[in-house]
Amino acid sequence: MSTKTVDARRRTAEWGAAVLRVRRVACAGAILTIGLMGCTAEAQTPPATQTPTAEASPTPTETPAATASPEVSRISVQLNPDSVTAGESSTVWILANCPAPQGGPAHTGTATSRAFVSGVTLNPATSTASPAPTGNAAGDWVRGQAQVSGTVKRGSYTVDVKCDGTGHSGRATLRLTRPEPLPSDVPTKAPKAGGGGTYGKDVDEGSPIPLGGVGAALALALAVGAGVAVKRRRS
Amino acid sequence: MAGSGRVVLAGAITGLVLVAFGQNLQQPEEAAAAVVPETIDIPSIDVEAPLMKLGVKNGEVELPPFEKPGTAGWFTGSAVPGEKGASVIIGHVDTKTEPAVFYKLRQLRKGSKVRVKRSDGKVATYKVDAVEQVHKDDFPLRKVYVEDGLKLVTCGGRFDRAKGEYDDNIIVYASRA
Repeated sequence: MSTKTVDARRRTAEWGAAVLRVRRVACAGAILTIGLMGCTAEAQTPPATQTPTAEASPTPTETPAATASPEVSRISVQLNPDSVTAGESSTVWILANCPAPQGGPAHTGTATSRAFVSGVTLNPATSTASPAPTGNAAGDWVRGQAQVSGTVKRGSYTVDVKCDGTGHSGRATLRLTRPEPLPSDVPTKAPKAGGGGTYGKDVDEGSPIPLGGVGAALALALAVGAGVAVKRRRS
Repeated sequence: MAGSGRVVLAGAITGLVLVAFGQNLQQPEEAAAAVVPETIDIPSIDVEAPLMKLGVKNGEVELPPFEKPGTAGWFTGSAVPGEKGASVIIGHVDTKTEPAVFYKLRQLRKGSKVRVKRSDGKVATYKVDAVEQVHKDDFPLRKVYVEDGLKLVTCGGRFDRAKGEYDDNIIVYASRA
């Protein structure tokens, strides 16, 4: 190609035409070279992508960087238990892998969910015993207990956790499941264990009447009564 | 005289032998099933009551008759106290005229002791974990009849004269001490 351009320049008799031709040739040459380069590039790339080493090496190094940059702040959130029975009020532990902030802000987090009676503050240490995080439990954890009302319907509920001070956040899913059916031999109604004889009679709860005595008296009265009844029936 | 005495003695020995053999034969399969709770003892509210067996009829648990106000009942569909599972003992708070066996049940406090004597001579001792008053429409069937521990149940709250029953139940939850 370069020899062609050189030749063209030496033929300086017809300037304009020559310049034009040179340009054309240069263009053609350029196109050719680009084309060739493209060709060679194309020819070279497929083997490059096909070789397992060439393909494998960029993937692991690039993917984490790609996902990490938009979601730097995703942290692990665990629920204990992660499934409760719908229709019953229950208590759920939330454990979040919130990193301890440098300097000022307190190491706390906040957990919110539509299934919770109210939002919960998560703290690094709690006074009551709490379950330990499972799996990869490295790093700093904050935890707290949330109440799930018995009025929450069955389904999956997102639990969102925000770490105070560092801006990290994460989420987990709490499941409210259908209650297991009661065994068939269990009563289905509340017992009616009273006749109403003492209601409204205002015997105050701390009354000194010893029930043992009352019970004994009652039993005695009953025995006598039964005896009388039997006698009457017989006579 | 002496002859009749001998006959009685012989009869008694035969009876004892029969009982001993009978027990030996029955023990493998029936011993565990035959045990029943016999009395309940709650010293803090002066309750010492015999227990009768209560079955279930049309979804409703049977109750001791009003004629026996001093008797509480053990629901036969529940575990024998001292065994694993839910044990349920029910007693009236009152009859139509007077206090009954579980009249003071609502006065029980956390930590109070409850003892149940069984037909095999064992005594199951429990301590009260919680006392709760719930409306009959919200009766916690699972907590009472399925979950582990002893439950003592009676009535409480307002007495609905039209319906002839109390609005609420008083439930005592106790665990093995």
